[in-house]
Amino acid sequence: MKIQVLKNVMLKNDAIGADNRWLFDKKKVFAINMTSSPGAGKTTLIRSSLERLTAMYRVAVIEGDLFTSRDAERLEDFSIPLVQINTEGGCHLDAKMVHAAIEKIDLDNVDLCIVENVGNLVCPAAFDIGAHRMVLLYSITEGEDKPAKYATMFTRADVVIINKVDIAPYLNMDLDAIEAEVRAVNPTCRIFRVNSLDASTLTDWFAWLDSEIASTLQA
Amino acid sequence: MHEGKVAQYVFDLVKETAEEDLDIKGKKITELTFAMARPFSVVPDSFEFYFTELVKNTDLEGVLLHFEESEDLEFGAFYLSGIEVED
Repeated sequence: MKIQVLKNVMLKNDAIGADNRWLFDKKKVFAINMTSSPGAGKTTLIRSSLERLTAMYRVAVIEGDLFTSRDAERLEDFSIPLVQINTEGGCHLDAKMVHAAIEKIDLDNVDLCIVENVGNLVCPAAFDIGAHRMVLLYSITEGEDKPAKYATMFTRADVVIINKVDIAPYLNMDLDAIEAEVRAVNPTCRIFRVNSLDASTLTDWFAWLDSEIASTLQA
Repeated sequence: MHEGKVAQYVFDLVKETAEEDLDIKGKKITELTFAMARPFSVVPDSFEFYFTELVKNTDLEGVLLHFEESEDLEFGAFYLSGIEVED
């Protein structure tokens, strides 16, 4: 006898993710899930961003990494709430891990929480961690075909930041063609072109963050 | 690569469903059917590998798995859609 059911397998994760988002909302914290493949520059972008953001906002960072705390160590000089998650080989963060990390942060004194996911262009797409927005950092050194190859991640992204644009001439990369590849799988996401080592290229990224944080505070 | 965790979610979901549904409770589960929407967030072969390992020496050992594509579910969804039990 076959029993018809229709149950979301990810319900357990998604329910905790929803709890995390509820908590962020209640505390008026804007939360982003920072994703990318390994080496795209997530920590470098966070570091460059913190130099400006910490002067304006109370920022917390949750660092996801398989085994090390090297990324977190790169941010220690900012003296911000900083929580390390080691997945011990796991290829993504899930909502439960992030929930445990949130409990270590005084959200009453935070405006922006940046969650740096494990470097991976596949698995993080399947796990709602409870952030408000998913940001995908896309280094041009990865080639222009990644949006089509990793469509799930690119389709789920609210923001795609094309990084390392300063070396495009040396790689013979066409930034408009890269952006068109992103648009082909995600017509509505925000796209920023940056060199995360150069703050002057981060203006649009900062403006977007300012707008989102202001919306969260006013909600 | 995340299919091991998804296999654990499915195991828990099936056990919970079997406890709640009187048509399933106490009966031998023989087959599970899943509905999945493109782009797929789970690789069936990988999921089956982890699930088979996970259910060894449990009531679900030997259960057959079926995967069906659905155009009705949301983007990337992975649902448990059917549980076959012995009459």
